[in-house]
Amino acid sequence: MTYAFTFDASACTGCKACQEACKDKNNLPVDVSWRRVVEVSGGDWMNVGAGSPRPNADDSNGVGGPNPYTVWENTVFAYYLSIACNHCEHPKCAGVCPTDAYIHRKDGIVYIDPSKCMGCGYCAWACPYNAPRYDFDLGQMAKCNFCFDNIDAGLPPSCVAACPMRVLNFVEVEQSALSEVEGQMLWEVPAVEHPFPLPMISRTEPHLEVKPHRAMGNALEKSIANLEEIRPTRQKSEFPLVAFTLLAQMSVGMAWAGLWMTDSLPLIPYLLIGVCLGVGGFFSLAHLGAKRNAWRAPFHLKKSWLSREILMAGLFGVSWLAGIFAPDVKWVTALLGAGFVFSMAMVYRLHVMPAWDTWRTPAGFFATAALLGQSAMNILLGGGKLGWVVSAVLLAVSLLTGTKARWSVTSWRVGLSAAALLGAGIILFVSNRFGVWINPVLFLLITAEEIIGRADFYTALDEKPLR
Amino acid sequence: MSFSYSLTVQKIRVGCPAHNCGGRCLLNAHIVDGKIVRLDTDDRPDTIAAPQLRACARGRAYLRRQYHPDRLLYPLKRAGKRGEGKFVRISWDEALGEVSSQMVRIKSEYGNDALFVPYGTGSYNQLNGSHVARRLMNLFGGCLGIYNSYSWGATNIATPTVYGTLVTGNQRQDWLNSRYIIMWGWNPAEMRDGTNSDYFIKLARDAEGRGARVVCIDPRHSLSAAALADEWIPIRPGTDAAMMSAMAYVMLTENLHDADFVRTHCVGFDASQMPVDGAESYSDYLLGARDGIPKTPEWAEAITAVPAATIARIAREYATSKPAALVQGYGMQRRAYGEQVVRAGCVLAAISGNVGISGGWASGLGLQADDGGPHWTVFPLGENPVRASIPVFLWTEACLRAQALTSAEGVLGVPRLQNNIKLIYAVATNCLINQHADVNRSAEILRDESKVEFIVVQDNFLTPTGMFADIILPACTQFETWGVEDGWKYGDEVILQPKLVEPPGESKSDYRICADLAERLGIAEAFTEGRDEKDWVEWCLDVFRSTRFPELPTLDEFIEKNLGAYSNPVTNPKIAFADFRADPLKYPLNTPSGKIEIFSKQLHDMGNPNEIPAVPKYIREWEHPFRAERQSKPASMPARPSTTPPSAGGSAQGEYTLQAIGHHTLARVHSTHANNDWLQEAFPQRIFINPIDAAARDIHDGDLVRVWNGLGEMVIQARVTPRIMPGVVDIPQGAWWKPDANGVDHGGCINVLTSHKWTPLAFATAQQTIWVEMEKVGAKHCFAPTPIEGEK
Repeated sequence: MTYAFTFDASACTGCKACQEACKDKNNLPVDVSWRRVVEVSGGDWMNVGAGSPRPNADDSNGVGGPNPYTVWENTVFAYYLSIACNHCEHPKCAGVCPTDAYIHRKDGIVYIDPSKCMGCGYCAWACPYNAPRYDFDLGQMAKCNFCFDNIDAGLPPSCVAACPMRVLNFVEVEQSALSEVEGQMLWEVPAVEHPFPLPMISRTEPHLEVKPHRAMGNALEKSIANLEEIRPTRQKSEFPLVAFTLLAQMSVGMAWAGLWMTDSLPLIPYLLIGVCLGVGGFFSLAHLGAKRNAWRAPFHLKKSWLSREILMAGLFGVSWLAGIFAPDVKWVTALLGAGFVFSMAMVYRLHVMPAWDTWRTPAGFFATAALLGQSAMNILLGGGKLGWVVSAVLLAVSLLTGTKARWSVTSWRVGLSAAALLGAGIILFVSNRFGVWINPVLFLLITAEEIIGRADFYTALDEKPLR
Repeated sequence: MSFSYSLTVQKIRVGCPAHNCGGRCLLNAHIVDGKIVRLDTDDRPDTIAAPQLRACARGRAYLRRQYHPDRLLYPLKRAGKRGEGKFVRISWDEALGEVSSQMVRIKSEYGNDALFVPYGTGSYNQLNGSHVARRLMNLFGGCLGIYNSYSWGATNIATPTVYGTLVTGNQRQDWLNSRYIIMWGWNPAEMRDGTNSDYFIKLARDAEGRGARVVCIDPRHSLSAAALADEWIPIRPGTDAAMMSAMAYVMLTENLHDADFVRTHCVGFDASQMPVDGAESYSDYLLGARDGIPKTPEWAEAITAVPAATIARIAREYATSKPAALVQGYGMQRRAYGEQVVRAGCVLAAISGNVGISGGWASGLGLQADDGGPHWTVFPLGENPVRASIPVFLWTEACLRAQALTSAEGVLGVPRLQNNIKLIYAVATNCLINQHADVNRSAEILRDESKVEFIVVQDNFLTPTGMFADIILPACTQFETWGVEDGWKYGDEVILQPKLVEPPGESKSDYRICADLAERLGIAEAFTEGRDEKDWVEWCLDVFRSTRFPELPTLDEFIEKNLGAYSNPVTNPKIAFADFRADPLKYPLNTPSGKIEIFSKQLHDMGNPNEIPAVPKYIREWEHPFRAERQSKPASMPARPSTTPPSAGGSAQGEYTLQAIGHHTLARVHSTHANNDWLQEAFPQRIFINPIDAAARDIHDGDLVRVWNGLGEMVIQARVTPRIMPGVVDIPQGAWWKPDANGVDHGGCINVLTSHKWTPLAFATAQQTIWVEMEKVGAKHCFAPTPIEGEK
């Protein structure tokens, strides 16, 4: 037996009583709405009177003089979808949660244990419906819990009890209330047939049944009309993740570069590998809203790539530490670093994020790691001409493997890369004396290029319709 | 946490605080340690005969208002110039002393008719609101009376000219028997018009096997149009009567009208039944017998922008899909000549034979059969010893030129007024500034301390009206005192509002404040009759029990069983005019002819056929919809209006190219809840504009725009949407006026753009007749709710 929401879109007025009832029951601040009402509209206006001005008889009787004759036909439509958490059969949020904070009850209700959530926001990325919402006051993710306290007391969820039109309801799945002719049980139809704006990509089997509004089936262009009503005025910043991923990747890349550039790394460059990892770790911690629960991050190795990433980061760090005393483990360190970068990339291989869910993500991450690490070592070890040739090749790889981006972003990256390549070319033909001055410039150009690329990587999140 | 919560929480069913919201609903308050922590809604059984009274977004977001940090906690006294909004805290003793002594002074210097309690519905149950102050005034010797309302100004007067009564509606369960429903400017999903009205329309539409076709005629693709209508027909604001006339023309010329019913139950349809020999009958008007203009669908197309074929089709569908209900909204009668659309709608219902039958609807105001539905006020106001009263919309005129006001401008009871209004006691009202037409004009009038000499405002918040007070009295909310309410227009419930929590600060109930004033004025005993709020609730319950609710439980039972609401199930909905339909001679209407007056001799005898025709006609509005379009050259846009716009009646329409309307948004009840951040988040204030009009002005969704006409100016965000017809913009009414130093409003208060000119017959508001121009002032703007300071 599993609970599901049922929603009759054919008669939802978009009154938002459900949304406010939810906020009231769960005491949610502005910018946090577990249930949101999406307005979809579209259609065109045709002036069928244009070009056929008619003689107007008598101005005093209401028909004016020679005016632009407008007679309007239209194809305007609008419908509403009230969306909270769909308590999916396969809740992706629960699977990806690194602290294993999600609880999936036997009756299908999925909720978050606030004593475990560390506020990383990863579940919201993975959820096709962006049901988990970041609560700035709590520093944690929070979402619809089907009012399980009501359910346990034999009462309906607050939103259901609120609906003035009686179009939002809930059922136990075996006894679906809506007629199957009209209702669309979303967990039994392919996601590509889900009504707009529900994403066409979902394997989670959302426990939601929708009786369609007649406009859902028309062929007209549809858009979410009320983004300003459903999107919070502020979103969790992804900047710390830009810093974390780049620094961590640079750290790994430096360990790799050290392998071929020298027999044994001098102390300062070796220590800098750890410093990069440490500072990166600091940024990743800064990203968390509830740092007190950060220690739980590696607790979901069974399913969460984020847990695995943290574990790999730790192993890489330990191996690096061991390397201070036993330089021979450097091959182990490099291998663990590769595992770290791989798991980092896998964090982003989310089915609902087509921009991320490609070979480009791991390829790009590996290229970035090698590029930044190599470039850093070129300075630290005086890598000279060969080092920059390697960097130049890696730069090209990084550019080519990067996720598809708007031209405005790509042009910046290409421009900076071209400058870097030009600099690398100069280095090949000048003496090392000048190279000392050009090296840092090259490094900065490459770093800037990578920061732009990584920052843009995260903007793909904005394409999730229900973000 | 949930465990301890369930142990300590006290759950009390309580009526949702009554404002003029169009509904009356039930909440289930959860109280912990003297604080309301949650508001669930009606959890009683839900049946069609006695449906649950589920609260809307406003009721469910009420705690954001209840515990708003801006609540008025102490009496205040004006410190700066009037209207500046500077106040200092004073004691209740000083405040009550000042108010009572000013009342005594004005009474002795001018007379009781210089005292005034304006229309106000900001608090609107039996024990709270402006009527409590009215009782005080009446016991104090009276005050200048008011009649009619802002809401139903034209229809209150026009409906009886056809039917002799306002009770023209069936009980709503009867909508389920309709086969065809026209929601004409009627938007129950947002305006509510009775808790559950939208739900009943859904039931009617979806009724198995016999569902009604639902058509919505509205310039705006409202929430009701999206959710309930099978077809939406956009129409130019102010031209509905033209489409109605053309529909009648089609019915007449195609012989689709109910000729038998017209012959036996109506007068004035054609020459055979004219109360005045030789006068123009309705058929004469439709066929153009006198003016030479047949009111054809093609004629109406040019006026309404609705295709002639659509008009003809709707006429045929309405006339032949029996029974059919033409339900009128109220926005279209808050316009120039708003009386005509009411009368034209009534006449369509009559000639199609949909009066007095199940599934039909007589149109007009539509109070509920058979007794007019819920009581508005049973709390006894007493007799007003001052006989003079004015139409509610004309209070500014009584501040300016009372001695010029006569029956020609709606004065009743006396030939002409004696005194200008000198003292205003404004309780739970934002009508002095925000909700009255032409804010800039009202503000100018009130700023002048030599005109109205003393203004006291009693409310929960410092509203734009409160800014013009000399003394502010802090009223508590309805959760903090006793109250009782029955339905809003429709419904058959009595809903108790027990006192749940203590008022914050020094705030008191409206009743207690008035009782304290009564004591200062020496009329305490007469005012209270020894009762406190709870005693009066019991008194009101007795009235309800002796009228509409014979089985009504006692107050003790209500409290003991936590009943919350008592519903009379409607299993056999009553039909308006059923007896008249069955036997018009035995049960004549309360009209001069005893019949449905398509032609009104009363109106004919007023001798103003151009503005008050005896048969309903389309009359071009004083701001002509078409003249504007001819002059839509941006070059001719006027410069920024001066801070003191013209105060003459009517707006200087000329170059303005857009009609504006102001619908009732779910973000507010008129201006109540305007500061509720949850509701601002859900329904941000903005101006809705069609993509065609937006493109012509390079306006994109979310842009900041300037909107102005000869009366005022505002800066507001734009929402570009196809859901408003081209040539029309929509500014949801009720947002609080926030003028900057130049007088430009930044709050989105539509009344900076509205005219105080009134309708000819009812002296009613015509605030919806608006022309504006707009332009872009800034790029994409973030829609953010006003941050509440002092929180967290």
